[in-house]
Amino acid sequence: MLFNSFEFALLVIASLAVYYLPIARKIQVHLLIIASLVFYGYSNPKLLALFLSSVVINVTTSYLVVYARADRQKLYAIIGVVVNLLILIFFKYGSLVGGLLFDVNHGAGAFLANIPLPIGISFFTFEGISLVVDAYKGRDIPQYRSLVARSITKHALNTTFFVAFFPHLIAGPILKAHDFIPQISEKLLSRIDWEYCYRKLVTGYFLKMVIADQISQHTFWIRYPFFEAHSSLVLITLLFGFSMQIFADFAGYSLIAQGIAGLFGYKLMENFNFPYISTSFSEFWRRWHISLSSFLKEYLYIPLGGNRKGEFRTYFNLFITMVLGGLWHGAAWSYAVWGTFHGLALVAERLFIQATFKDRKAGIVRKLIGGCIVFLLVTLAWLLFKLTDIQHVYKYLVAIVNNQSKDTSFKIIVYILIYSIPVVVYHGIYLIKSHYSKAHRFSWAEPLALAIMLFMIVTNTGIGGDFIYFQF
Amino acid sequence: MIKYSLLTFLLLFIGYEIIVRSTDIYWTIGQNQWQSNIMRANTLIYDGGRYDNIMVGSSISSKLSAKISRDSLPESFYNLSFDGQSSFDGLRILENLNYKPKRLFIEMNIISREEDKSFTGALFSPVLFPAKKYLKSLRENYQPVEVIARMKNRRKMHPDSLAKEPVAKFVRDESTFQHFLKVRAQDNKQLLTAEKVRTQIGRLKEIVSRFQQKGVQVIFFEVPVDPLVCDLPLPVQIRSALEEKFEPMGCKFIRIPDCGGYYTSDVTHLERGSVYRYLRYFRNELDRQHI
Repeated sequence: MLFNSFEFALLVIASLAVYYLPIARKIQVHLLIIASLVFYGYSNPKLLALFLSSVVINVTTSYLVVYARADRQKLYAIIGVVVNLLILIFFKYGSLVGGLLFDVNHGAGAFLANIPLPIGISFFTFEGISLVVDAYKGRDIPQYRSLVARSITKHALNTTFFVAFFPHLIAGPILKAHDFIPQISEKLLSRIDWEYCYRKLVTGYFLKMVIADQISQHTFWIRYPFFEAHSSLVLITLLFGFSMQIFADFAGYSLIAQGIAGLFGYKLMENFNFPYISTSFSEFWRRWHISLSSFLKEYLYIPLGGNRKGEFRTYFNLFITMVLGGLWHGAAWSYAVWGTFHGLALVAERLFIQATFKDRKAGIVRKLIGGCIVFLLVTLAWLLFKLTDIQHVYKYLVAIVNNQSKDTSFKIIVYILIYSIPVVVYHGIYLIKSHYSKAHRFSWAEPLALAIMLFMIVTNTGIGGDFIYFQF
Repeated sequence: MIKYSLLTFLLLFIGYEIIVRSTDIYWTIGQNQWQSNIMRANTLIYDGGRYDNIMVGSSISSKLSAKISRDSLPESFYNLSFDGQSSFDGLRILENLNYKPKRLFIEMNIISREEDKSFTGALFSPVLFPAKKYLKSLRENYQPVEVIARMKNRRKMHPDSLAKEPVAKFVRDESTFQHFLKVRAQDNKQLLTAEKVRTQIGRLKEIVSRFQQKGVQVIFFEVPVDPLVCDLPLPVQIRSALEEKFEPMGCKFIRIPDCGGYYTSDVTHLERGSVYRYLRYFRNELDRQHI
């Protein structure tokens, strides 16, 4: 079910209508679980079986991690993490592994190649891991101890709700158990922060339906052999457009998720913090898909030793975290290359800054140059997301160099630039707000900007396609 | 803040609706392929025109009415073919509208492609479909960005009414053509599975029967493509499967002419001179077969 579909609007309205009734106050969590299962199973009810099996595994292992005999708790934590990872590997990477080891036309190879990819699996398995690990950390961190309720029924309800809550279920933000479970309580209509929800929903739907969905109809041409027909200038503009589109699509989704969750009284973490103003790769990863990068940092980079085991291990840990982070996005080598690219960039940046600037603070010129380099390289790397066949990526880059004399379609360039303006302005306003102390004087402009965005959502939307991150 | 914002939105929306009703800011070419398809469908859905001849198909047929003079087309003709899609989308639209032309032309070239449900879903959405009947500003033909981007052209003349350029000598970009040829030749060597042919033909048969029951004459036609892919296994398979199933049902066929002498820029889509040539053949066939 898409966030921009009629069915979804009906589901949200119906859920809200019942949710805040005084009579329903005690069963709010139950209601949201039912709504979430309808949301998840709407287009393919068979997927519910896998999803609920994953929930049962996480309920059981996290409960045992806390309430089993002390000498077995670590074992249950390991089982919980490993089973989650096996589910993810089997469904997501089965075809990739099958293609490597067997003939995909026969026997085991054919079986593995045809495993369906359940939507949202990368998100709900990571959330399961978060629950099991946080439950285990409760041995050392007192506030984590309450994450697993003594009553198995209550724990099962909390866990199901934590993983299933529909705003974040299929494309994040990836929730951490210690951020979300403590929020589970009775909610009142009078406590809704309407302005927060309105701002998030209007901005989110604008980014998705007006910007991403319009640009997507031009970046569609980044497909072999279609891109071969375009000039170098168009190819560069298409790549720039895809960079804008992927931001608007995913940040839009995250904002909508936050807005919807807010209507039910829950706060989801910020997933994007104006990433294209980043002046370094490390800053980019603090601003882009924050829920994934903070998950990888907390549950992979730090357990690997982080920066506590010397220079070489720090670089190695950074690199391996990014490669695995890349592979998390999908079962294609292009994602591994994308992760490797970002891993190398982080390592090279760290080496370069330490060797050149030491502890000197970055000036405006260094920030500006850094910002341009980061944006250009990040945008270039998005090609690996759009073209998952590495050969096609190579052909695209060759075409950028070779197609200088081909006819240029200015229509594509004009529309991509027009629809990119709001993304640039969105980042620009943030920069002005953070550097200009009198920015609050322009607060009157916010309702006007939201009204214009709403007008554009009603009159100027593009094709209502899937969100890009649904495939991950 | 919310009240002020919603009020401003209402003013903007009402103001824009008044503008689009009182001026002729209307385009039939969209910002992109998908939007052009939607607009082509919207014109049939909302403008209330009745056409005797309707053509459904993919981009191969869609090109037959683009950039050519209207008098090259049969009279009372509407081309409901869509780029990147197939005949099934046009047929679905006609069925949803309960539209009954005298003659229905179905393209044979692309049959394996499924109906694009997101496309027809967008056209007949439970909320927007009825709303678009009354509120013009909700229709894709009036999107503000489109209006602003094309305002400059409008000062000269409505871009959709500009005279068509004369047919110039066709110059093809050979490197692009070779890339497309490689891919298309590969695709057209792969036969469809028997199951796929059965499913698609079965689906089409049901639709054709429904139109025939309403008294619509159904005619299949195939547009020539580059001679190098014209008679590869896939098009031959589709051609013979369609003829075998639909000739006994009384459907007429405008068979593919000799592909030699037809030119494409990308192996599948005819260039403008070849479109004129094919339309001459098409009209001659209509006369010859008394259609």
